[in-house]
Amino acid sequence: MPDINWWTSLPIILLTVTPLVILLLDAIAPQRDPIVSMLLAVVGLTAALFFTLLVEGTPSADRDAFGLLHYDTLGLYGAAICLLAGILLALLSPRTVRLYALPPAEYFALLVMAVLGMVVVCLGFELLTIFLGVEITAVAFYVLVGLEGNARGATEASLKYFVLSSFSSAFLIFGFAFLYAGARGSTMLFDVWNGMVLQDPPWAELGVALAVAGFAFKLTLVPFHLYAADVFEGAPTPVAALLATGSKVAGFVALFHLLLPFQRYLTLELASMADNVAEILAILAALSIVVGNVVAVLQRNIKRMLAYSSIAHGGYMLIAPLALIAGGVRYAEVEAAALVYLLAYVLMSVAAFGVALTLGARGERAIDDYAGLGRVAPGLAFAMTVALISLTGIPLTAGFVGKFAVFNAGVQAGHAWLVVVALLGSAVSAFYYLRVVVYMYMREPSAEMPPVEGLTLVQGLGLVLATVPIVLVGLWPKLVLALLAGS
Amino acid sequence: MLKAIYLILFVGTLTTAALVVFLNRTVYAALALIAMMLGLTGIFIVIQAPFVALIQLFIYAGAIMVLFLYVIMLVNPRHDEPLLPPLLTRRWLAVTLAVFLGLLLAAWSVYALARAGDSVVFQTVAVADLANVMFSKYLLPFELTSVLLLIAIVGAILIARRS
Amino acid sequence: MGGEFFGWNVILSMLLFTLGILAVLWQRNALSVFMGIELMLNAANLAFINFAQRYGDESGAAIILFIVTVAAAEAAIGLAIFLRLYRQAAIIDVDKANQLRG
Repeated sequence: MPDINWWTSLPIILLTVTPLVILLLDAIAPQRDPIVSMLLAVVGLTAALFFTLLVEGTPSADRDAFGLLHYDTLGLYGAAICLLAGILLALLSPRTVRLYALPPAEYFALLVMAVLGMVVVCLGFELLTIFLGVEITAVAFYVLVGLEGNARGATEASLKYFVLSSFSSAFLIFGFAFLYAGARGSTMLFDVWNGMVLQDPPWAELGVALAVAGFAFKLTLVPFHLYAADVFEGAPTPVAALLATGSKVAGFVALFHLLLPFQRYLTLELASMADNVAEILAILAALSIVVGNVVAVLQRNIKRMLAYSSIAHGGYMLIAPLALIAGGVRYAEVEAAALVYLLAYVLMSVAAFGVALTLGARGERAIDDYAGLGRVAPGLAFAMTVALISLTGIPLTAGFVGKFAVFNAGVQAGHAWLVVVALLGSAVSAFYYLRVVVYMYMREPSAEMPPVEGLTLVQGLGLVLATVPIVLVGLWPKLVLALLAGS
Repeated sequence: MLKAIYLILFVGTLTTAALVVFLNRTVYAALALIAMMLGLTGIFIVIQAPFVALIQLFIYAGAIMVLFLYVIMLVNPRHDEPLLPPLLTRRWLAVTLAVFLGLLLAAWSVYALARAGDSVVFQTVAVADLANVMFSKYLLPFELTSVLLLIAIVGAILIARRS
Repeated sequence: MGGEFFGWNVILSMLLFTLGILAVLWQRNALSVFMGIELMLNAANLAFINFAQRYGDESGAAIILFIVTVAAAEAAIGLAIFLRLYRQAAIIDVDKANQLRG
């Protein structure tokens, strides 16, 4: 039996117990209204978040759990960000659950289980654990995406997501087999890293290539982004939001963990392979930024637009590990930049999706429907404006802080060309983000548009919790960066 | 003698796998897949991993493929089967990509094998060790798998029931 | 004994994996696409047991059990999705199944 460290195991245990409680309660007393299930989910997720952050204070040697998980700074805060996304989206979900008659208990149980998978992926330092975390999240999403079952679009989205995701999981596990070989028969990440460095036998290189391909699918990087927009369009909006935020954060953290041996000044032996990896990341990032932004301009549906926007943001995100591998930037700095970007990204995406889902049918379909919202629903319009301004990367918002940190690292690492591409991409993105703002405040609604749903306390709370920090991080970036630098 | 058996299994597995790719009738493709799994079972036995061979046989070929066949039967295997626009619009593009990838992988593995050293160590994995690992090192994955199966059960019922 | 097939097994797993990819990209029928994915997972299984015996480590063999379990879970959900799509889309036509633009 491995040593069970209760403190570090608690987040995982809480995330496992919470869905069970939600489902059992529903079995005993069938829930019609989502409020109870939602509260249970939020309590469980918040408790897990609390105990995750608590690990921050313990010395590095005590931060293992089950012998397979480890709370390094990136993983710890990555998991915390995933939990935050889960909490915010759980708060925002009741609107969607009621509007589309989704089964409440199953919805929230699956939501928490998806977050469990994400947390395991962030904290996993062993191949099987990471794989299982990825699979738990994936299978939970297969169900969640298709939950609006009666709409044809939903089932089709579910099918497409299923094919895409299981295809990428196969790449991932096949790659892991070669990493296992490269590590001379060990699945612990430390040994895998050794295998990547020593390259004797040279299986690890192949493993890395396959695993990166697998992760690239999960992060919907171009050219692995097929069907992403369809999935977002057909899935219930909070599910799409969680997919865009938590799933990406977890995949990103795992990829980062995998590529750690390629840090420029760690081993000179890896120099040539590190350069190759850096170039591949740069190409993936550039393609994602360009394709994501350009195609987003063409979208008339808000969720598809946000899908392509998240593809572009996946590209921006990738500049951080690129900076680490290409060299010239210290690990601590890259880590802080990456975490700030992830936090900003989650907050603004949740806010944008959150407003869309709160508006109901009016906000989840055509962008044209946003006309006149500035007057009809001023609070929601304002929240959306904040989110969109942040997504563009305009100063005084979290989005700007995140982009600045990451772009800065990119320039220091000698990839200024990529940063230029990213800046151009951001400029293009201003067009489609701010177009919504223009519609909200400067266009008149027409009579055929669906009515706006009212704002409830819970929805409002969720939106406030997502939107306010966007501005706070924007106003006090130094503070946030210092907090995220960790121990 | 063993080599002959292995050769037969090798060729058989590859052939049936190719059949899975190219057959147009879903039932036949499923049967080909079962045959491929049987081939793999044989290979596992040849390399002295009987426990894994039986797992492959019972669970993969036995349970999962039977589930497949049930669904194929329910979905009525004629021309009205659920279709999906293929991931790539041009088939020749798909074949080219796959062949290219296959050659790349094969070349890579030959290169790696050449450099892997001649003294091939070989050690069978004892079932006792396997069981041990489940409850010591892999305790967390073992428990997480139950969560995965819970999701699968809840999900399958939610998705497939008539509302 | 069984050790001399190590290299051949690696090649076989590569070929099976490639055939799986080909099936996923080539096939129009969703069930056949999923069978391609099963091929890929089987290739991974072969790779793992192969390497497990090369390095005498039981983790590789243990991982196979988990891969099979994951495949079972995916199959359950995936097939349920296929069933539902079939029920909803009585007439199947590539264009009609593609209601959402790609």
